[in-house]
This record gives sequence, C-alpha cells and structure tokens, in this order.
Amino acid sequence: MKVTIKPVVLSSLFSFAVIFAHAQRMKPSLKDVPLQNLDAFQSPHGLWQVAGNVSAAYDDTVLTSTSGTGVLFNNYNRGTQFKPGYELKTKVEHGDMVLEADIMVPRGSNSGIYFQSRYEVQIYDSWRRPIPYPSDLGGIYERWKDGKGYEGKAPLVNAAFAPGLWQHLEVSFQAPRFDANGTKISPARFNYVKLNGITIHENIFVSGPTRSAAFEDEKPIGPLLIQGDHGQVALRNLKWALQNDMDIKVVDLSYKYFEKTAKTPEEASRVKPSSEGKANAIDVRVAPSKEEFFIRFDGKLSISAKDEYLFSMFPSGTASLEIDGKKLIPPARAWLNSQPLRGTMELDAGTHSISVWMHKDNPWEAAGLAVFAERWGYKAVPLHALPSIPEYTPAPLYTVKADKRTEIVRSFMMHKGKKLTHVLSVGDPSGLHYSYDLLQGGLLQAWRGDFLNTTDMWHERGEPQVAAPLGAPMVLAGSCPVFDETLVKDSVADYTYRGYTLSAAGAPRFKYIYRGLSIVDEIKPDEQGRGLTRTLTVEGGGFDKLQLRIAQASKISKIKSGLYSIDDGSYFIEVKSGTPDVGLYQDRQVLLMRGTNSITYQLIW
Amino acid sequence: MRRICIIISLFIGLGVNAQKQGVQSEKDFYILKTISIPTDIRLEVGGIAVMSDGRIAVCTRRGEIWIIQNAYGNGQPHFKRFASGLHESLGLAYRDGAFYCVQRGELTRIEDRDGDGNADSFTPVTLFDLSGTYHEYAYGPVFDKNGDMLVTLNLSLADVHGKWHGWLIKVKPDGTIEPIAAGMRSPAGFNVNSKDEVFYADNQGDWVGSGRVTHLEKGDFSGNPGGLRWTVDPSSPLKLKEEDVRKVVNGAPMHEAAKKIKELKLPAVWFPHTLMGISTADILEDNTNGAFGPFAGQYFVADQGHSKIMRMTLEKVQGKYQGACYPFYEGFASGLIRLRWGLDGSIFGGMTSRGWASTGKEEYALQRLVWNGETPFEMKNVTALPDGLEIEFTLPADAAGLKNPMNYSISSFTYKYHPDYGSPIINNRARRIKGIIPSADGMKVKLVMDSVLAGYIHEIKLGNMLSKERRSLLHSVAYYTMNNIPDGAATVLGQDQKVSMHAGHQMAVTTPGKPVAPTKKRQTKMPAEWGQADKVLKLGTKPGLKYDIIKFEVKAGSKLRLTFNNNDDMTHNVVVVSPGAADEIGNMAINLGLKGPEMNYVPSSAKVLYHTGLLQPNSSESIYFLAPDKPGEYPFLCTYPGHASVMRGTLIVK
Repeated sequence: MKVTIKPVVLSSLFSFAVIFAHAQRMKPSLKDVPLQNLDAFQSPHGLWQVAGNVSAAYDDTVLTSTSGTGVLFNNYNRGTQFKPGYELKTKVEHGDMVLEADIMVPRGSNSGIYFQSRYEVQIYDSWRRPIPYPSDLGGIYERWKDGKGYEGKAPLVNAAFAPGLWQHLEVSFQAPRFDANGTKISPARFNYVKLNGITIHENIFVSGPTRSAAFEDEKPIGPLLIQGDHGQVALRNLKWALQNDMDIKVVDLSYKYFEKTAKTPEEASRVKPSSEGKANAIDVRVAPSKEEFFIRFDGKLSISAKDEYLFSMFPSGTASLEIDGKKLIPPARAWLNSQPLRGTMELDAGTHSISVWMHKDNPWEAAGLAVFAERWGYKAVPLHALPSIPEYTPAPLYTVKADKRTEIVRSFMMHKGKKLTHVLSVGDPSGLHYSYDLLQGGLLQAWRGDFLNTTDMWHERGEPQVAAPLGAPMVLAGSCPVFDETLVKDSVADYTYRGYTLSAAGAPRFKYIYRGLSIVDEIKPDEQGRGLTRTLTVEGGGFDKLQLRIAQASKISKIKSGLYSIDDGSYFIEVKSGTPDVGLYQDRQVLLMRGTNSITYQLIW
Repeated sequence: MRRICIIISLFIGLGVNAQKQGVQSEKDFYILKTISIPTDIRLEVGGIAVMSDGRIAVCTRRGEIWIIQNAYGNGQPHFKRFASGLHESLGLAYRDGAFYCVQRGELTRIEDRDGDGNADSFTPVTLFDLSGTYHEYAYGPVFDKNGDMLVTLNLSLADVHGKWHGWLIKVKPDGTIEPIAAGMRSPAGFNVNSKDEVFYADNQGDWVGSGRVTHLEKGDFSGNPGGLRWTVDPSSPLKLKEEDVRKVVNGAPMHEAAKKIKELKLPAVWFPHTLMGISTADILEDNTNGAFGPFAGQYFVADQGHSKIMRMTLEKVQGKYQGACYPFYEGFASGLIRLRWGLDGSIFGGMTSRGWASTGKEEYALQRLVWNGETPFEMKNVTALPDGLEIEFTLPADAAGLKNPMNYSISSFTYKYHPDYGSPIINNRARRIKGIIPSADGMKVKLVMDSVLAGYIHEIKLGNMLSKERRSLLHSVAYYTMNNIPDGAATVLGQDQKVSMHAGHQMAVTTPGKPVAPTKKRQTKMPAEWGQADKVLKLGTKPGLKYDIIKFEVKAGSKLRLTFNNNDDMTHNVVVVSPGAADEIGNMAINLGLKGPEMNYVPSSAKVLYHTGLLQPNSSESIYFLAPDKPGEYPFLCTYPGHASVMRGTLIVK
C-alpha cells in the first residue's frame, strides 16, 4: 500500500460538519423531570405511581413493581375498561423540545408519548417483529379520518428490545409555527427519534394531531401526555430540554482582519489591520484569505432576559471570547470538529460588550468559526452567519448484508468508547448478529435487523477503519467468559486466541486456550429469535479449577428460576441446565458456573 | 564524402520516421490482457497467489479471497468466493494446500478441510499488535527458503505504533516472531530472491525522499525511525534509537548520514519521484529463463500511483547491492500494487486505487502482462565502472550511434535525508563524459567520466539510438544508484574514444530551491494598477487527486486572483491552458524529466496561459491574471506527473 502523510486533524475535518448541518444538532443539556413524586403532572389518575423499580420476565404480561422513587409506573390492569382521564399530562406546556427516557413495557403492552398532547410517538411491545409499522415501538402513529388511519410513519428499522427490559428513547420535537393571525405557517416535525441508540426517524413532518390525541386543533404549546389506557408502561430517567426561541443577537458589530501580521490581540493592537469594517454576524468570510490570519469581532450582545448563558465556540485555530471585558472563553486551540470551547456567565437583560478573536495558524485547515449562545429551556442561537462554517457532504453508505448466508467481517470496532482492533462481526440470515473480540473471547454486542455498516472502513482510505451495527446494539461487557475467581483480576495474558472453524452454514466456532485449557465457544441465533445461544465447552475437561462467567455487571437480579436480569433490565440471561451462582468479582456482581466442563445459556434482549 | 553524409542523414531520417510512426511502443512487445471481473465483485486486490493447477487466488481490501479459474484463457473467467471476513488483506501465499494471508492484526492459515471449495478453518499463525490507526497495514507473507514467513508492517501516521510496525519480521511456522530489520515506512512490496535475499520497496514520505528499493539484512535500519521504539525489545537485532538518528540528521543526503549511523542501509536503487514512479509497490525477480523476454535475472517493480511496471537491475559493488531502474511498461488499469508470476511466465498485476488515486482510473482491476516474443531495443543493464558506467543493450546497437557523443548525457543528483515529507532533488549537476568505448559486437558501451560520485543517483539519457536492425530505442533513460565505486584502474582511452569538452547535450547545472522569478504567466503580486481583483477564485483540494471546485465562471477580460491552497497531502500546481489543450500539456509535463521540478512541471508552450508554482502540501499561492478575452471553456489542471489526467477543472469564460 502506498502511503502519503495526512495530518490526523486534517483528515478528521471531513467529518466535522455533521455537528453544524443544523444548529439544533448541538445537543442541549437535559434536566431530569423529578420522579420522587407526581408533582410534575396534572392531577394524575391513581393508576400512575412512583415506584422504586419495575421488572418482568420477557414473557410476562405484567410488570412487578417495588416501592421507592425514580420510576414512573402506570399500573394499568388489563381488565380495566378504557376511560378518559387515565392519561398523564405534564404541568409544563412545551413547544420545541428534546426529550429522553428509558421506557419499559410488559409483553403485549401499548402506550405512547404525545408531544403537545397531540403528536404521538408510539410505545408498544414490538419485540422480534420483522417489519415495523407506524403502530410499532417508536412509530409516528397514524392520524384518523373517515374511519380509517392515514399518514403515520413506521420506524426506519425495528430497534425494539424484549419486554421487561429498559429501552432508551430520544426525541427532538419541533412545534408547528403560526403567524400573527393564528394561521399555521409550518407543520410540527420530529427532527429525530432514536430508539436504543439507532435513528428511526429524521426530519419528518406531521400534518396534524395523531388519532386519539387530546386535542384536534394545533397550538404553539401544549403539555406532554403519556397514554395510560391501553397497558402498563414504566418510565425512568425522564429528561428534557425545552427549546424555546431566545431573543439574543449581536449588534453594532465590526471586524478587523490581519493577514499574517498578528497572532494575538496584543500584536493586533500594535499594527494596522489588513482590512476592517462592519459585519452583520460573526463570519469567517470577511477574511479575504483563508490561510493564516488573525481576526477579531467587537460588538454588542443584546439580551432580553436575565439568566445564565452558555457560549460554545468552534474555531479553526486559537480563539477566545470576552463579554463585558471578562475572558469567558480564555484563549485555547480547538478544531471545527472537536468539542467546542465553552464558558458560562450570568447576564442581565440589556446590552453587553462582546469580543471574539481567532488566530488561524496554518493554511491547510478549513477556515470556519461558529459561536452559539444557549440558555436552559431555549434553543442554541448561532451568533455567526451560517456560511461561516464550510459545507460538508456525507460519505455514501457502505453495508454488508447477511440475507442468504452467514457473513463475517473483521474490523476495528468501538466498544464503550474504546477502539478495539481485533474484532469479528458475524451476521446471520435470521437477522441476529454479534461482534466478538478475538483478543479476549468476549461478546461485545449483539443486534437485530440489518447487519453491518462498513462506510468508515471502505470509503476512501477508511481512516476510522471501524464497522458499526446497522441495528440497535445490545452492548455487553466483552470480557472473557472463562476466569479464575482466585485471581485478583483478569489478564488477557492468560488467554490465547487459536482461530475458528466454520460450519457448513458458515457459522464460526471459536477456539482459545485459557491457562492451558482448550475452550470452544459457539454462538448461535436462538431458533425463536429471542437472542443468542452460547455454548462454552472445555475440550478434554479439567475445568474444576476455573469458572465460567456468564455475565458480570453492576447488578444481577434473578427474575425467576433460570432467568436473570442483567445490569438492571439491560438484557436477560437464561440458563436451562445447571444452577449458576451470583458472586462478587472485582466489585461487580458475576453470574457464574463452577465445576462444569460445558455450559449453554441464552442471551435474550 | 558528400555521399556518405547523404546516406547517414537518410538513416537518421528513417529512424525518426520509425519513431514518428509509433512502431516501437511498449505494446509492440508486451500484451496487457484484462481479466474481466463480475460486476457484483469488488476485487480491490491486496494479494495474489498463483496455484499450480492453473487457478489463481486473490485476496482483497474488503477481506475476501476469490479463486479464479481460466485466468489465462481468452474466455470468461470463473470467480468463486473461497473465504471472507479478513481485515483488509494485503498479501496472500499458497503452500501445501493452505493459504497464508495477512490481515491487519494477524497472519492466518486458511484451509478448506472438507474439500467443498469454501474455507472452513482460520488459524492464527501469529497476531500483530495494532494501535488502531488505519495506516497500520500488514504485507506478506513471502516464504523464504527455510519455509519461514516474512511479513512487513506499515507505520501508523500517528505517534503511536503497534509493536514491530515499521519492521520486516520473520514468522516461524510455530508463530514465533523474529524481528529482522527496522526503518520501513510503507513497505507494500518485498521479495525474497533466488539467493534467499530480501528486497523491499518503500514510498516517498517522511524521512523518505523518494521511492526506493533496499536490500534488507538482519540488523539493518532502512531510514524511517518511527519503528525504532521497538529496539528496546530483547529480540531486536539492533539497538539504534530515534534520537540517535535525529541527533545526526541535518538534511544532508542519506549516504552522508550513513557514515555516522552504521545501521543505516542505503537503498540499492532509488526510483526518482515522478521521474520513474510515485509509489513503488511489489517486486518480482525474473526467474522465467526468458519466457518473459530478454530480462532474465532482473527485477520488475510495480508503481501504484503511476499504474505501471518499472525494471530494476542489481550488481554487488564493494559487497553491497546497487543498480539501476528503467521504465518498462505503463498503462495498467488501476493502482498496481501486487505482481505475481503466472505459470506461463506472464505477470499477473493486481490493482486498487481507493484512497490513493492512480493514473489508471479504474477503482480496481486484475490484468496479465504477456511477452509476445519480440525483443525490444532497450538498455538492458547499466553497471558501474571505476570511472564511469557501462550500458549493455538487448540488441546490437548501430555502430555510428553508439560512438556519437551527442547520444549521451549523464547528470547526478540525490535527495535530502530529513524528517520532512519527501525531498527536493538536490545537488543536481551534469557529469562530463570524457570517453566512449563501444564493444565490438555493439552490445555494450562504456561511458568514462571525469569522476564518479559515490552516493549519488546518475541519470543516463540516450539520444535517438538505433539497433543494427534499425529498431529505435524503446526507453531512453535509466537511473543508476552509485552507492559504491568499484575498484580498478582508470580506463585508458584511445584517441578515437575521447570526447571533446564541448560535446554532448549535457544538462545545465541547476540550483535547487532557488525560487522561480514570477513571469507573466505566474504573477504572484497584484499589478499595482489593478486596485483590486474583480473576482477571487479560491481553490483547494479533495482527497483522491481532486480540486475541491471544478468549475469557475468568470467574465472575459476580468481581473482575477486565483488562490490555490494545497490542503492535500501531495504536491500540486494549477495550470490554466487553452481550450482542449489539457491532455497535450499534461503529457508535455511528464516528458520534462529531471527538469520538471525546477520548471514547476509547467511546460514551455503557448497553450499554457497561467500557472501557479509547485505547491508542497499545506502551502498556498495566489496568482493574478486577466481572464481570456475569448469566451470559452479553459481547462485548469495539475501537471504534476500522474495527476494531469484526473486533477482537472474548468474556467468558464463568458
């Protein structure tokens, strides 16, 4: 392979602008909706409770709750007739908002979250459904006219996990807009909906309220509503950020541009600018050269309300931001695609002086400068002109399908924020796939749906060289399943990878040596599609001294005989033969088997 | 007397005619056959293994192994996927019924144990440590005589390197790693020759001034110190550290640094950047005993960026290898990275250009180069003399041309050895030829020089020479790397062998690095009378030999400032040419040869309207010019060799 040098920072610039494609992608900081009690809600019906936790086996039709706080639980009884008033409305009325929550339903249950009490994101037990409909989990539910449904939008993929597990929902909602006469001028939209980490809708417009909405009209604001009359549902970690429009702008702005004649404000104060003038917004385009320059903007910041304000700056060089003479963002080097430089300050209503400067120190980095102002409850406002950031086109999608036979892809893979380098992903025609770390015999993640996204491996040079699941990943610990509980800690040095063989259908059978014992590891899709079946065998026996680790997690709960909920409802482990123990290893709970040379268990999610 | 002159000019005329008619092209001697790839297969070739039953196997950057039947025939070939799930596999070998294949993180033995034609067993011979950057490629294995496997590991571009990256290592069948040599940057091609010696090719980059082939012996350091961090390992055959190298390096040529760093191995042959190729890749020794033409025992070296094969000859002088490189065959379809001998003495060429654009425009390809039995008239071999060079030809040369001093010019140059990316050509000077001694049979000629420069590359350029059978010379240039000067007495020249001081069309001495004065075509200061430009055209680059903007619209006669910001990792320029002249100017630029760099690869032609200088990565330049008065579509292009055919845009004058 021939090679040319490419500064790392330069290469990564090509992926930066995702952040900037729309200002709303700057993820706001979210605040918890307190769930110590039901004070956040309008006169809740008695079905709604605050619980300490809820749980269920994957085939249970009811959730079992424990007392405590932190979980919002609708203890709907299946025999109960539909009655208005079962729904739960927030006291807060919202327009644009970003919301996140963990949700749990028992088998067959049905609920929904209505934004502004009007536009529903469906909650449903959609486990294992091969094709998702608008009525499935995360779907934008249909509207209703003349006795039949219309519109509605199915999720891009079915990202649903099993009932009895917590599932993570993220929604960015944008309210409809009205002119002064109350005429709607733009429809409500879902900027995005993500389920279990996978985008299932993006930039979808909704023409009006969903079927069975609380209101048939449309308004700028309304309460969030959780449906309560179709089945049990629980929510926790309910967080939101209102995204109202904020009145903040820069006025009386002027700029000074120094082409290679200054690097700092001090140097700039001593030389004549190469050019200067008025500017409407912070805008790197006032720089005639995009190579090496110093630029500064000075003006007034006009604010209508006293509050704490957060400023985020994405420069292409060293930059700083001052308000009222205070160095809110002290001089620091950052990149358009890196984490922004940030500073917060409480500001009174009125005008404040603002100064922004940037020194671009090299000719090859793309020139750009973005400054956002934020305040909790309000959308981030760009103080820069949008073309102050370079345009970006995403790479085309590269995928590997596993429709006809087992497919294997070896790649780098991100796992819990770390890049692993010897990873095999196995795609099965049944639609159940997993990634496996060859350096420790560990299951890293498993998912349903389409197999693998290889864009970052096969587009151009494939610089990240990472593959990613196309479905919602169930992320696992990834550690070696064999260990010795008498050792203080795991060591990969005890483990030697010995390759794999393929079955006639192309499924791998991994082999490795652990402290002299020869282990075979087979992972197969469960025939009912519930998850993966893993069989570990010690060839030739000799396993008395070691333990087989089925799971290691912060919390392991026994749901019923042979069924365990791992990490507080993240996934299930089912052990059909033998009785595992729950022990403690390295300050974490561990589900393990002792004294056996073979074990089969199921990973269900 | 008068009659003789007429006869001579007649012969010269014939020679010129023959050339003009294009009778003698590479294609008159070698046939390039394309193996058609099914449309649903992305055969981004990383490795080729030739099987003894007539099939060939190819591994790919997408991690598959394909076995191809009927690769030698004229009909449609049959492709069968044998294996998949490998991580960017860039090397493949077949031995005793098993495939051996490198992946990024592993050397793997792959077998079909049940005989159904599908691989079913993947066994690691050894694992490679990886830091997680894309640039840590692995190449090989190549088996040595002992049955051990040689593997080279690419350096990452970051400051982290997985263990033994930047090294040639030997992997024993039991998986034990024996580190052999350090100093590699991007060792995509290497070869174990018939004497069990290892030669590897490296690519221009940091610490590597130009492409080159180096003979690697245990304990050698071939130049890039990135991998020297692993010399702390007890198994390392050398103890040299990066700081030891940095301490003595000052931009002087590599042969000077080698006097201070005993481990530093000089390349056996430099492949001057752009003059020969831009990214040396695989190496083949011609062991066909003549089935591939008149070059038995010599070497062929692929170039990925230029989509071609070059030729290399070696000799041992003072116990070390040195030799020459020559153009051989160009026009492959994509980036030529892998070469393997077919069973019939033809060469299979495996190609990929993804991420690194190549002259051949296909994204990937598989081709086969076959000799047609005709012998080209070529410089077969250039070897060193104590006071000059000897050229051997493939066919007897015409005696008159052989002794004509006008037919020879030699210049010497070298590159800087420094941490920067690439190097300018330095110390380029013409060498005086004082004697010419043809052999009686016309097969050889000795060129005796005033002095020979050890450590320098010698460019040998021949004029319009003809063979005895009136064949024109197919290629007229060779580059000899003179690491050492052979012992021996100075050549005694007979009176008729001496060359007068003024003979020869020797090249002018050039001073590298001296800035070219702005000309009208390259006006880098705004003309004072302008006040300001009517329009500023800002141009950058995109990966894969592309400008970021391919269309500008300007008013006829308007005052323009064109700012070219070379944000790529390669050298580029911008040349605005007359409508329809892009191909012509691009070709003229390639033919500038050694003069190219000093001319910014901008040919002297009325069809060149305006141009920038040659811009190194991460530099920029603005030029000022008036848009042409005549509306039309004026191409602009990068004339750096290998770029002209793809790196283009259009200035639309309205």
